[in-house]
Amino acid sequence: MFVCIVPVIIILYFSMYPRKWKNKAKIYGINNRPEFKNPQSEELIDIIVNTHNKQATALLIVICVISVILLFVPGFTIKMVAWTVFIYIALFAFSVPYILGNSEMKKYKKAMGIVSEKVLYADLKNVGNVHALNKPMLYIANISGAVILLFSFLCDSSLFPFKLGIYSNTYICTAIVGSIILTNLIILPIAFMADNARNNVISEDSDINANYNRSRKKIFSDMAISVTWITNIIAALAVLTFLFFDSEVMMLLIFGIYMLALMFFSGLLVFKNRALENKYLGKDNSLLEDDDDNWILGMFYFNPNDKRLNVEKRVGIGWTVNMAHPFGMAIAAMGIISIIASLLLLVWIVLMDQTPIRIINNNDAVICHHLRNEYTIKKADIEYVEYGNLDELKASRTAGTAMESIAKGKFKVNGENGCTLFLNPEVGKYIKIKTNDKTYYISDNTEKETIELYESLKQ
Amino acid sequence: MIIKINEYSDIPIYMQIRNQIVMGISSGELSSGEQLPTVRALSMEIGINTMTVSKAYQILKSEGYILTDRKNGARVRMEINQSKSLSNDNKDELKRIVSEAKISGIAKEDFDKIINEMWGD
Repeated sequence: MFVCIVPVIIILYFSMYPRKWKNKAKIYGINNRPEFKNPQSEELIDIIVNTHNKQATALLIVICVISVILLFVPGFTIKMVAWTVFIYIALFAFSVPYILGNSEMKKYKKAMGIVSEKVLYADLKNVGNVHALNKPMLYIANISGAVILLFSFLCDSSLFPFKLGIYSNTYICTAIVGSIILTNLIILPIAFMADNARNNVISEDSDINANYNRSRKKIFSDMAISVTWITNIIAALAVLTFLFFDSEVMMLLIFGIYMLALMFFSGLLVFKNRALENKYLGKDNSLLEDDDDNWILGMFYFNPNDKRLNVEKRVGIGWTVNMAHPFGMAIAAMGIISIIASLLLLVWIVLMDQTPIRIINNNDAVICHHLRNEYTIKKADIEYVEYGNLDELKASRTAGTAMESIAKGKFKVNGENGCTLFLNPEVGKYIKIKTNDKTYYISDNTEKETIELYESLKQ
Repeated sequence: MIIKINEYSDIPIYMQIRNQIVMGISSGELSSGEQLPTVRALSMEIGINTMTVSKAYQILKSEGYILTDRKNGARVRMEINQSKSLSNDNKDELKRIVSEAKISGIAKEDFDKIINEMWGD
């Protein structure tokens, strides 16, 4: 979380809050215009930019400090809840100076008497002709990723002489490599979308427009290919870790490096875009189209007259949706629902973590109860019971919950499929109950209670 | 060539596209045989319905300014038919413009000068 949020905030800081605004295409989501570059306007815009940039700098420092403090929060669940809530608050708070800046710039523009003419521009010579995506390279990178995934699948299936040790036939390796390679499948359509994106008109000269838009698309194309290759390398390292190291620390290290690499490339994308803006939009050219009024808070695009679903973001990297488009509305609604759902999920996770498991041992059955789950093991069906240390078990979840204080549901345990777990991993002990049709691994809330339960069941 | 579409104009968007392409051909910004963007690409670029662009191209084709075929898309005609006369609609439009110019007190010489500038003399 720390590796994600701190670089993201730093990247946002540099992309949202312009230093030398005169060379930028946009100031807080408002198109930079020649009218802004007269001495009187410059003085006022300097004040607006300095004020909100200072607020953003202060927020950046506060967010970094809190991020460091959160590293020392004890307990995985509490840490996860704290980080998730903090990320939402941090992203919102960090947008506030930008929103204020956008509002002030809109007011100033209105005060200057600049009214949007609602004119759309298109450079006829460049429509559909400006592309920069290196398609062969992108395909090769994606095919390489697919080969790595296939290799991990064959290793998992024991079809190759390479063995995955205890993870063989569990398909954990394939699942992890697949989830990494999935990034490529997300990048692929985005790369094509970027290449076919609308061309910005910054000059009456078609050649300048073509060069500017081609450069913009080339930056994104290079980035998409680089990130695809980085993803492949990470996936290959993950397979090698499974094959030769079997180390969770190594895996965490690989994911850490991956996160840093993604952040690095995102930063590079912002940096290159800024350099391009400085080159083309500095003195003579500026975006001809004025659609500032269609950007709510300078972030959310709402234009019922625009039939496009995807539009380039005003702030940050990539594309956003037109919220006036029916699909755009649906996507925005899904976004809001997913935020609310993630917060509700956090409440549920806290409940699961904090609610102790309850085992009722009566004459006929052992009843295991935790929140909405209940397992009843009839004593008449029990064939034998065993007691052991939890570190002897190699369990992988099929369906259920695996947290610090609770592991419940269907698991594959020591190669046996379909085992039911209902235990508190913090206890470190388990009771294996074998019935005529199922295998259970259970524990109580303490080691003492677990031993007592075992003794009772043994009799 | 840059085309400008005013969303709030009284002139329909397809007519704005048609007019600007005609002006582009007249000024030489669009040369004979020059490829025009496909209907889909232009509608995506401006963010308007494909039918609007299609309608503009159909008018341009029927007026003899462009050629369209499935293989090559739309192109400016190599040789545009020169009727050596103004259509009645254009004559009416010109009459309106001259009338407004007279009412606003523009001298004939100044009006001629404007026409000559537009004509490219």
